[in-house]
Amino acid sequence: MGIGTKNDFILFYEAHAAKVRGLLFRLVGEAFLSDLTQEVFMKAWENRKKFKGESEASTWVYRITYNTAIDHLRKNKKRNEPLIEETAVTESLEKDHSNRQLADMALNSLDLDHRSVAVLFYLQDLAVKEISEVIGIPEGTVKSRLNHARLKMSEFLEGKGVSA
Amino acid sequence: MNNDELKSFLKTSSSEVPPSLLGEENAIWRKIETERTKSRRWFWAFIPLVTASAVVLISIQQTRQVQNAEEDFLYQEWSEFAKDVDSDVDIDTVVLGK
Repeated sequence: MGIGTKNDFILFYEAHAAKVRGLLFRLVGEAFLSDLTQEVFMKAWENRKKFKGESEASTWVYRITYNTAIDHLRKNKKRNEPLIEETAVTESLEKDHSNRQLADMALNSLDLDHRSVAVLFYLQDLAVKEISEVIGIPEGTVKSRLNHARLKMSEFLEGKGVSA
Repeated sequence: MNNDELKSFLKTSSSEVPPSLLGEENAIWRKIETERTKSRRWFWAFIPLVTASAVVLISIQQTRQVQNAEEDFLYQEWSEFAKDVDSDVDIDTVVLGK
């Protein structure tokens, strides 16, 4: 993968920006989206020589994105906190909440470990093996976290009257 | 809800990712270029420093080598002098013994 010139870089950006922004938005939120996107692409640029094609380029970019998001949250001490507290979700939920709000609340009620796996699987369409490479955990752990996330979100959504 | 149902619901219902700022890729590229220029400046500033350090190290080592050669010479001289003194003492002892 060569991103040595401006044109190469722009092609690289266009190929991966949606994935990077998608994962950052779901994990960190909108406030730092632009700054962190910039950081991810700068890291990708700095480390482009280390990428030797052992894994897919997208997996490599997802890995940098995930690590950047985790570093940011760690610095801000929000590593294991859900974006929205579950109790707050329940209390604030009203009958007229749209499906969009419910979907966001369901995702944001998960802690970061489970939310990361759920976002990569359900919204970014990564396979279990790819997720394990991105996050750096065994496939069994990915499956376990996915199962936990699915049960929790299903329970939450069904409790609010959302059916398949 | 099974996996497919949940995936379908989340994909169709969750918030869309906000669009990127116009020209974001160019802004990032400019930042990358700026960082690269900075690192090049550091590199060129670093070369005279490394060269000066190397020159100082080499001169210190050369001084040590000269000092070592002088010490060896003095030790040899002292050894020869000590041998002469020892042999004179031996001759005196022999003469006195007679």
